[in-house]
Amino acid sequence: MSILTTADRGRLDVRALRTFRGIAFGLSLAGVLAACSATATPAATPLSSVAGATATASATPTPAASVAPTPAATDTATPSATATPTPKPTPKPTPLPPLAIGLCTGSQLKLTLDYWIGSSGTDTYAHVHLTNVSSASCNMRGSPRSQIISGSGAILVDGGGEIKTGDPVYTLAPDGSVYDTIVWHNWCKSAPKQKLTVAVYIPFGLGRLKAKANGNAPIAYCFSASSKTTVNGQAWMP
Amino acid sequence: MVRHTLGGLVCVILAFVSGCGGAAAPTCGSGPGAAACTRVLFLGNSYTFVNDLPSVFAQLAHSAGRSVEVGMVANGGETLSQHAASAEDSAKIVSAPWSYVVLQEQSDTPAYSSANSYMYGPAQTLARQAAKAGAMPMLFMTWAHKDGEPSAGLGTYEAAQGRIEATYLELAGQLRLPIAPVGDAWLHVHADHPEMSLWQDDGSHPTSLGTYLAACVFYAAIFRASPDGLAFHGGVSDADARILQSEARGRVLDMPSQWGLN
Repeated sequence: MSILTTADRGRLDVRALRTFRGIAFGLSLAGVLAACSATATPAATPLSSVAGATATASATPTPAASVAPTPAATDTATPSATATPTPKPTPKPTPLPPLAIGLCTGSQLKLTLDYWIGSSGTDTYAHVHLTNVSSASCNMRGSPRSQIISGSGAILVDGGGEIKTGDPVYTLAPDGSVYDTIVWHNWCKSAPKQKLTVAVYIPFGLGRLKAKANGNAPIAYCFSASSKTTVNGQAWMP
Repeated sequence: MVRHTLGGLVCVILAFVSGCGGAAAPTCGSGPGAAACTRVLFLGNSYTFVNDLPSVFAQLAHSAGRSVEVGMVANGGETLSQHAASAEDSAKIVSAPWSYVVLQEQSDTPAYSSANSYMYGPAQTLARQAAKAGAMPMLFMTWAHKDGEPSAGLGTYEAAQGRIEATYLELAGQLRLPIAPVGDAWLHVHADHPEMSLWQDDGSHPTSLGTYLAACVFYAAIFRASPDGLAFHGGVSDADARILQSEARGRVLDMPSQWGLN
């Protein structure tokens, strides 16, 4: 059981996605959703929601470790006279890290850029909120990794970061939102092309969301050319 | 989280140990009188550390014979969200038996229409930390920029101040926190005495007059006492000091319930 690295998030393993879909389907047939919701993380995401993340996931989603695919009675097909099924080896799923269980996926969320704040000599602040647009509750753990994106689509700065065990968990009911003040600090390069916007990565490769641009952004002040440009956000639930 | 500074300035002071070059302030000590000491921790940004507001407040209180100790965590442009996520802040809150923990948001944020959604979570987190440590959380209502907040659709100082005031009042009502209404006092001083320059040339940060006004408001809000006649004038003229003391007293003590100061 391992938590995906940052580099892992950038890769899309199509085989694993297919495997994941297959396993998810099998699990739903086996009626193990209850087992899924009994995992350590409260209000675990229904498995179908996790599976839906494969459409937007940028890494390799894997099913929950605590969900062992148990063949249901109906899965045991009665051999017919004309077909003798040959058991196919089932790829062993890579367990989903415990911290990822029940998390909201990209397909469940919408990212909205409410406004930019900043002026000459200051950092730039982006106020964004993530809304659960699905019909099921899901969890946000910690704060999503954020990026500032130029008008031409270039990633100006990437916040990086990992989810940690002690991060707060917010349960998002349908239509519920978390609010994130993203702080862009120390931009010492030439002014990027407007209109800037913001993107966030949902941890564990569960999706990347880009907000629709909302007006021209103030450019973060250059405090020191020898210092790093940073972007950081903290998500909170009101 | 990377925490940055304005011009490399990081201010974390305790009593007379001032990283911002502030003047010495009286300490609580450890003798029998220590229990009667008022300890105030300011969590803010440049609106707090420019002119060293905590030190000015402490010296004002000392001139009234009060024993005060102050602390500050303030980095340039810092938001409540950053404070609430900061291990340094958490450690500072439990580092001393603070009487009050002052919470100040980034200056533009409260002027935006959905500001409350962004301030509530961090303010609640910090307030809970403070209360758990035995301190009373207090919101620092700041002043608007001199030219308003055009990007928020607020083209005048007065309009921006109105929104900022409404945001802090809403937040205070939700969290049941008292407010030090510095921004409100600033509004009235500006209206009654337009000749007094409260803003620096950047139209944002306080002059020594602005900081002294803020200190007087904190004095009135924390001690529920008038700053009228206090001898410490923080480098402003005697005449100006009297005006600012009087305005602070009037805005805070004439309507304490409005600010949760009953």
